[in-house]
Amino acid sequence: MEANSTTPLPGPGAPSGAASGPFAVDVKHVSKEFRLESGTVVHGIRDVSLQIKSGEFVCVIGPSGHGKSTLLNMIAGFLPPSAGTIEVFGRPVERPGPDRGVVFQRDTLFLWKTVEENIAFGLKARGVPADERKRIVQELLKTIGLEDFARAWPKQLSGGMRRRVAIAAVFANKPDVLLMDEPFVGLDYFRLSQMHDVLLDLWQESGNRAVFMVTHDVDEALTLADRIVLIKKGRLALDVPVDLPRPRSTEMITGPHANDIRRRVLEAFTQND
Amino acid sequence: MLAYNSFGSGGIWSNLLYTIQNVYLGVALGLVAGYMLGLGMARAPRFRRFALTPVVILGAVPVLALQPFLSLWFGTSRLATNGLVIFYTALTVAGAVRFAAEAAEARYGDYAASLGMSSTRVTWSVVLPATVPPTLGVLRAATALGWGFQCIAEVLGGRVGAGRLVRTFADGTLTAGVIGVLVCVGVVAVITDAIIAMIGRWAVRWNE
Repeated sequence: MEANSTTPLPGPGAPSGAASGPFAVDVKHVSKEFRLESGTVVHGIRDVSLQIKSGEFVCVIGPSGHGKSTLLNMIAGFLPPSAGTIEVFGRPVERPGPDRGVVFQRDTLFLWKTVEENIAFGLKARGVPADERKRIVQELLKTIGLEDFARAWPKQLSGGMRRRVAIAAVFANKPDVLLMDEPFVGLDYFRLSQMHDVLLDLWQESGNRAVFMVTHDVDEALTLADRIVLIKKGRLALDVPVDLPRPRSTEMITGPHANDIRRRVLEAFTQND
Repeated sequence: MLAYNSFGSGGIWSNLLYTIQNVYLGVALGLVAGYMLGLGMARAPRFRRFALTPVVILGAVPVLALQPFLSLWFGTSRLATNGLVIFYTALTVAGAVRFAAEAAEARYGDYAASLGMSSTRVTWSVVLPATVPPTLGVLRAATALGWGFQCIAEVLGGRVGAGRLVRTFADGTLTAGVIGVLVCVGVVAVITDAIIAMIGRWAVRWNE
């Protein structure tokens, strides 16, 4: 099902390298059904089609349990669709892979590895030489502002620091697409703002990496996204561009144009259908 | 009888040494067997289907009820007495490792897969380290109980060991001798536990 206001083009915030050719993510008529123990079939996702261009930052919002994370898990390759196809840069998604980095809501840092070892982990798994690994890790530590914590254990870090490391660990792997499932839930405004800055820095440095981020927070979506997609009752209910310039100040995301987008999203969110 | 009252040859020391060796050997064998069993059940579905029922049934058997069978099967060999330690350690370690490995898979499996890691690499680099803290905890408990099982086995059917010495003193109504042997076993058990705890703290220093 197409959204009632589909806008496939990225907003002006997307890097200029947004390429033609295959989409970064191409979701075609995808549905997902779950069969419960009782035999009841639950429709997680119903005939959703969605294209994300290279370099585009898409935030997906919607009520809890309406299919946002299910869609993300299918793009990541953790769940197979019941119908339809998903392609990443023209390649069909069949299983998880390093071309799709995932930042989870839960803490996934390896507790027995130091911060730098966590960031280097994916690189090591892919056989990247030690010198190159060290260089990439140093750059990322600088970007996330944790150079002094390179040899700390994850348990010695605060929640915000751990999220930064988790994001850096995924970026280190240089995925084509970054998938994020409510990565900043539970952070206070100050930490959230810091995390947004880190994420945007990493994303903008990475060139044409596409981001698919699930969030509950419309303000967060307005701060980060080129597009906001609303998933409701398993369907694509709204697809609206966020054509605000970057970097986006508080004034900008509380201005008339942002408020107009906010109103459209919230109306679609609360609309009974 | 008097020879047992000294720490000389044939006395408390040699019998205690025999018990120490058997507990350490039993715990080591049980640890290896239990770890492989637990890991196999967590990581290999076919192996789990084959092994789960016997492990559950054996887990329900009272450990001490096995002693007569061990004596019957293994006579006067070491296995007749430290079989209980091996059996108990293996079963408890297997259970702990299985649950820890499954929890590690649930927590890190998707993340590791999204980094492009193979199943073998996930086992070595993710599951094995994640199972260390619970295994150490269970190992301490199994070793602590191992002293008891070993001594009981020696009391019931051993020809050597601290348990056998306890029975000899008890037969001679030498209460002080019984208490002396038990104190010696207790001191060795406490020192052993302290060493395992120290090694454990170093091994899981990331978890503090």
